[in-house]
Amino acid sequence: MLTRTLKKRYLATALSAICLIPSVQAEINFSGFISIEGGWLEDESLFSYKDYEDSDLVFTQNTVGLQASSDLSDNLSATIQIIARGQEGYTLKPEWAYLTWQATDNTKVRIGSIGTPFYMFSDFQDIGYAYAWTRPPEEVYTLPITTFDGVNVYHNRTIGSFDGSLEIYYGGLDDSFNLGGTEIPSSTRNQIGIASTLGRDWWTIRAAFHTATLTNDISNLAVSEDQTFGDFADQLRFFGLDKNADLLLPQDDPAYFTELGYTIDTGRFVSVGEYIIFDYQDNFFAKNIRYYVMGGVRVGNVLFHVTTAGSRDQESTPQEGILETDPAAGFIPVLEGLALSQVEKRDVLSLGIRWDLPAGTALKFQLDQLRDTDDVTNIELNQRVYSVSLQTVF
Amino acid sequence: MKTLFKTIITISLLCIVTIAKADIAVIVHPSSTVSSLSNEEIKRIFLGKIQSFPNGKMAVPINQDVDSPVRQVFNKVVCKKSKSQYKAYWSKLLFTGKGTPPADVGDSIEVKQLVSQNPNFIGYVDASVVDNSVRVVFSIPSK
Repeated sequence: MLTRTLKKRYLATALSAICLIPSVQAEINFSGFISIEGGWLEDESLFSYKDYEDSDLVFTQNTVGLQASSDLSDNLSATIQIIARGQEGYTLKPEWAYLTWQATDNTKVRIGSIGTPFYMFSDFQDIGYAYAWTRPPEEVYTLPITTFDGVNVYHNRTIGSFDGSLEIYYGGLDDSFNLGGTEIPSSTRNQIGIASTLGRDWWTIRAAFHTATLTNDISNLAVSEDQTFGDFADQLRFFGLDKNADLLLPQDDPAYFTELGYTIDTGRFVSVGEYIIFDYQDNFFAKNIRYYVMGGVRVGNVLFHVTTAGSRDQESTPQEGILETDPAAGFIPVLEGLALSQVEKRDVLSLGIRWDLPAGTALKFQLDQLRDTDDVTNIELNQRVYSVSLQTVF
Repeated sequence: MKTLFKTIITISLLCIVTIAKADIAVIVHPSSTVSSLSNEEIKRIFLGKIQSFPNGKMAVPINQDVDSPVRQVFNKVVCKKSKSQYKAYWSKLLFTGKGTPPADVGDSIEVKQLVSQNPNFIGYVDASVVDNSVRVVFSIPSK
């Protein structure tokens, strides 16, 4: 695990060095993006959303990114993208670092640390200027880790009046993400995916499928006041419930991600929709079934849009196989409870305005109205989130 | 503030009037075997969807500067995008290395000069600057 993280940093450093070497052929192209983003919750005593926890306006979601790209030869270039996020104390992080080989006119091969093409907006998820919302719908854009180390082949082609693309990649990743204050080491092995788009004029459709062996190491995460998940799994094994201990921990488990999406842009009318299923099997994580549909209309330099999004997760069954008559039957409600805690049943209605200002900057306002249904108690909770952002690319 | 506002409106209207009177010509090198291109083909080249002319030769599109009124009309009529839509379109490709926007090279005179010197370039200019150092493959008529 540690080795791979070091490898990624080494790769990024090497690429940065390459970009700094003066050479007759090397010409460094810089581009970047800035997103100033803030928001607030209507009721801060209820659940937080989009990482906003206060009922006062705070600009905690600012992001700055800089990309340097250099041609090493006719068909080979090196690219590095560095991002600083307010959420992470503006620590500079190389997000992507890769070499691109233009194999043919229509085929690009990239090798390095690359963005995973999960979603329609994966390529430019941080680049707010490219889309209508302050941020892509939280219900769908839910995966915390969006890069991998490996190889990616991208092919695009025009067939008659249709434009199509096909992208295939293979790789793995060692990283970590934050879950309620605890850093969870996360790694994938044999991650492979395929994404394809087909479009014509004002519409495009997309389908993607990914699979990997995924491990989220939660053994040190607290499951109760005095127990970690690791402790709890040991306890299950002590009672002879080895299978359930395995079903509890997300260790070397198969993960499948499916996406279907479309975009429509006639100039006047805009519509986007995505439907995803994230099926992480053999652990207590729920099967995520999420979607959103957005419709909007442009009037001059202003885009008015409405989005409906939802989560209809299905709970897993880590308690399966334990009989009611079993001495260890006391674990059934605990495991059921853990499984249900991972389920989101939520509806979100968002209203937004995007105003394109003269200087190549977009000003956005967004209101998200949430209705969350607690799966255990069936209690409905309502929350409102307001967000505002100023975004540009340069 | 009001005077400034009025001035801006007046200048904008003058710009619109000026564009409405001028044709815009899409030009290539005179040695090119391409005699004409359709709106769709030019749009595809400038949006990076195809990288070559119909005869198989590499096509390198070049833009006028961002604020050029000729560019605004070209983007609107041929690419069917406003200034911000055009920028948003390219920002989607730029950061993954899936495409690089055409370079911004200046005004109609500078575009004509570059196109006349390079057999792969394709650009758009105010029709009044066209001479036999370049070949016109498409015209955007005045309204």
